[in-house]
Formats: sequence, structure tokens, C-alpha cells
Amino acid sequence: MSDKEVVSLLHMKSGSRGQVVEITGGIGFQSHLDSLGIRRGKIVQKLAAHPLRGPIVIELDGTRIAIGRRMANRILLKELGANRT
Amino acid sequence: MKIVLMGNPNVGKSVIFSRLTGVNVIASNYPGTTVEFTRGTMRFRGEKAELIDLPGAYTLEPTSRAEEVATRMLQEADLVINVVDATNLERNLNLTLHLIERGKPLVVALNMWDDARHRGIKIDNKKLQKLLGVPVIPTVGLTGEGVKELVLSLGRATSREAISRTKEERWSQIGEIIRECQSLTHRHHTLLETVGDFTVKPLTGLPIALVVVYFTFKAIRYMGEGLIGHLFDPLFERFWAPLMMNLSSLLGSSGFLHDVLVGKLISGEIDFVQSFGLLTTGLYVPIAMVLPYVLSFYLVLGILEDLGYLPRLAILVDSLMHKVGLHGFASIPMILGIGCNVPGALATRVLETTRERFIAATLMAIAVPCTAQIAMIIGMLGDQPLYLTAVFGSLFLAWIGLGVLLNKVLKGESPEIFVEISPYRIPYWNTVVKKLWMRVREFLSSAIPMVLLGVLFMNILYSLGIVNWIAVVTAPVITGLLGLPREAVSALIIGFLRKDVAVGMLVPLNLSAGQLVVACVVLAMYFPCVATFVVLIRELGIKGMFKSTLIMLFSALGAGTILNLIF
Repeated sequence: MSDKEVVSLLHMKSGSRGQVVEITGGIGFQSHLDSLGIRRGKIVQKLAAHPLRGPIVIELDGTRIAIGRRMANRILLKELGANRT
Repeated sequence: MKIVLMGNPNVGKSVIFSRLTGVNVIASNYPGTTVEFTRGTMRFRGEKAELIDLPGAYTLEPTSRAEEVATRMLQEADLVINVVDATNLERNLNLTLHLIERGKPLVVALNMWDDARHRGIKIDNKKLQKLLGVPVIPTVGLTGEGVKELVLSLGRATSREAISRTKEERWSQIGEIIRECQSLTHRHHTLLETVGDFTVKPLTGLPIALVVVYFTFKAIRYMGEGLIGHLFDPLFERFWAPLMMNLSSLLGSSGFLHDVLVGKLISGEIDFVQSFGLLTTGLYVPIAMVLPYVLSFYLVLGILEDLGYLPRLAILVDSLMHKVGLHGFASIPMILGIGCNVPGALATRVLETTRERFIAATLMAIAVPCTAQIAMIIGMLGDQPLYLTAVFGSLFLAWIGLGVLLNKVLKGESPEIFVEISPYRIPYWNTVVKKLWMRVREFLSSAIPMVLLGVLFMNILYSLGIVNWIAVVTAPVITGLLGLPREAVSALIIGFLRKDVAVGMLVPLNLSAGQLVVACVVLAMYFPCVATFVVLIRELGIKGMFKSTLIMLFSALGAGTILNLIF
């Protein structure tokens, strides 16, 4: 997979879906994300990015999760394009 | 025998707890409602067993104080009921496997079973039971379905050998379980989900939030004033006042006992706000002035909570909260603090760091007045919207200003928001009413004794001349800096006990609207009431509370002095 296909959750377009390929950060950070089910291989859809450095809202396994920007920047995804709905 | 309820946040543990024990605890539709454990008893094998409702946890490695409570209590448990959200099985199983590894006797309650069915999630619970090796019982906490079976299954729980697994092993096992036990039928988004997504997107979410907040306040004020004007006030004036006048003449219209019970007569009549007797002001303030607003605030809050709107509001204010070193979820303790600062202070436990908890608790204690206080302020200044706005505007500015300052001065960084947004659910009327009743009962049982104590205490201080003495000593501050008559210190004294009575004590002073603004703001900021103070000591520690108190005193003085210069 080339670098072009990989994008951070922060920079992925709202409405797009992507599969988590990497989470950069220590074990603590990884298990923190893990607690809400964000880990490698998972498919997430970005629903919105709030202005003024507000949080990113994603959908994962039917639940919606709000996540801060610094954290979102460390979640790398392979973009899969917009969802059918 | 100690049984604990464990599970991820917002899976319905508290509802199951109420079903099993008959003890009602506050349950809401957002993660982190339970921050402390609640004990109850249930029958198990013909004996009394202790059942403990714990705060939600995602894993057994705690990331907040609420989660610490859960993991600590788990160690003492003889039996664990793991409540699992059937609509989100995969993520929930992570904690389940952790619990299985501990080897304690365990039963899984597959909760929100009906919800899962509606969403097209089919779970083969028999197979799940086999794969996990522990009893698995489908339940619906809200209706009580499956609760009896859950109790019966407790007898089948046995202890197993503790094992250890790596994270990878755990997830691969979860993957296998999900493949074997769960099947999804494709479905379209429900109407609630579509509406739900509008409220988390900035372009649509912000206007919706403004409308919601506006109507929330409108509704609370409308109901509060309606209840006062049409119900409580007439009751007191028509039925209670004549009784009290009889009592007054029976006691000879004056004297210490008369003044303590009935209070001073104002031009021969009882004035429920100014007379200041136990049976007049002592009852009128909490029941006829504050209770109506407590009722309406908690009714509206309960509906918003159960609907699941609060986490969405938290996201929208996230960037504002970052300015004061907090993140969006810290808005929940603030909102609860508007009801009463005590649950607000407790709710700061959902925050991750000591720094955040300190900032949140301090800001709340200083700049978030409780409903009791707000009701009284509206009672005093309600007909002068400009001055009313000045009070709440000043408090808001103090909140922002202090928050920005604390964020600059205190070392450390604030973590970012990372939270599950609970799905919208249509509130059940009976749970809303039950919750309202619990909160109102809590108010009545804690407020009325405190108010009565405060009124009694004040009467004693007055008759001993102590108030006058304090007034002389504090005059340079009260009059010099704040521009208030020195007798206003009596309100500050009683404010330690109850803020609502304290605001009421300003009435006989005949203050100008500007002076009222100063006095109300200072009263709100200078110190928390004793109930909040006790909780804050526990939450922040003595040292933290000492720092917080200094900040309160200085910011109250500062704000009061500035307002005195303006008005």
C-alpha cells in the first residue's frame, strides 16, 4: 500500500470511511483507544469535524464516538470512500 | 456474600441494580452517571446478599477515578454480574474476557436485548454461553424481562482457574465469538439515528443546541413561575398565613420564642421572606420559592438525560471548554451543578486528571449557582431583566476568566475528549418521574433541615448581638469594597449553610438593583454551601480544597469590587 492511500482520521474527509491501519503512540494510548473499540483493522466512518479545534465524530460498529484532534491525528486509515448511505 | 455489577459505561447497570434490589438509583442515558458505588441487598439462595452497583469501566486498567472505584471493589467481590450491551457485543466482550480471566464466579447479563433485536442484531445466547463458559442471560432492564432468570442463574456461577491472555489473544477470541454467535441483518438508519447525526454535526448541531437550551430555560422558568404563582404562593398566603397569625397572637406577638417560630411581624403582618421565623421563612423559602424551580429543572434535565442529549451538547462546547483547560465532557458536572453543586462536584470524577478535576470543581463552586440560589435571584430580580442578566453575565465572565487563568497557571496539559455518544432513546415516562421524585426527595430531605438550622442559627446570633459585632468588624470590606450596608454580612454568614436563605436575607436591607447584583454575585462566588464544601474536601483533598477556597474568596472580592464600581 502506498503512502498516498493512508490518511489520518483528522485529515480524512467528513463522510468518508476508512480502515484503521496504524495507531501511532505508546501502549497506553493504544489501549485507551482500544477501550472504545478503535484498533487496527476496524472500519470507521468520519461523521463530522467540529470547528475551532473541536472534536471529530466517528461511527464505529454502530456507535458514535467523539475524539479529540490530537488523538485523531495519530489514527491512520486507509481510505475506503464514502458510505452507501 | 458480596455481588457486584460490572460493565462498560451506559449499559444499564443501575437499572438492573434497581430491579434486583428495589433500591432506586439515578440512571441516565450517558456514560458516567454512576461515579460512586451503591449498596443494596437481594435474596440469593434464601439468604441476604449484598449487591453493589459500580461505575462503568471499559477495562480493568482504570483511566478515571470512577473506574478506580470499580476495579477496587471488584477485588472484594464473591460473585460478578457482568452487564453487557447486546447492541455492542464486540466491544463489551473485552471486559467480559478480562473478568473471566480473573476466575471469579461470573454471570453475563446480555442487556438491551430488545434494542439489539430491533437493530437487526441476532445473538445466539446459548452458543455464547457455551463459548464463554459462564451463564449468559438475555435481559431488558427497563422492562424487567429476564431479571428473574438472571437471579436463578447466579447459582450456576462457579469459580474457575485464573488465566492470563495477551491483548491479541483476547481480540482474536472475541473475533471468533462474534463470528460464531452474532449475525447482522442489513438495515437502514433509524429516524432517531438520522436526527441524532444532525445534532452532532456542527452546522446543524449548534443551531439545534441553541434552540434546545433556549427552550429549556423558558420551560423551566415558565413551570417554576407557574407553580409559585398558582399553587405554592396561594397555599401559603391563604392557608398557612392565617394559621401563623393565630400562633403569633397565641405567643403574644413578640419575644424570643415568637421570633424564632414565627419571626418578626412587618407592619403587623407576616412577611414570609422577611419575618425570618422557623415556621414562616424557614418553610416558605425552600417550599414555595425554591421547590418549584427544583421540580421544573429536574423534570427538564431528566428528559434531556434520558433522551441522551447531554453528550451531544458536550461535543458542541468542547472547544470552549478547552479554553479553560477542560474538555467537553466536563460540561456534564457543570450542568448537574446547576441543579445542586453536590452531585456536580461528585460528577467531576469522570474526568481523567487531578488537574481537570480541580479546575472543574473550582469553577463550578465559584460560578455555577445551584437552582435554589437561582430561584431566589430570579425572585429578587426577575422583574428587572437587565440586572438579572448582569448577575448571570458576571458569573459567566468569572467562569471564563478564572478558567483561562487556571489553565495558564496550573502545570500540566488537559486530555482531549474521548467519549462514546450514547444513542438517542425515547424516555420512559415512569423512569423520568421516578428519577424526578428521587431528586426532589433528596432536595427536601437535605434542604429543609439545613434551612431551618440556618434560620435558627441566625436568630440566636442576632439575639446574642454577634451579628452586629461581626458587621462592625467586616464593615471595611462589605461597605468599603462592595458598597453594601454592613448588615449584609448576615447573608454571607448564613450563606455557609444555605445560599437560598442567604439571598432571601438581602430583602430587608432595601438594596438598590445595582447593590443586589453585587450581593448576589458575591454570595454565589465566595464560598460553597457546607454540603458542597464537605464533598469538595473529599474530592480535592484538604490541600486542594484550601487552594480552591482561596481562589473563591479572592475572586468573589475582586468581582464584587469591580461590580460595585460599575453599578
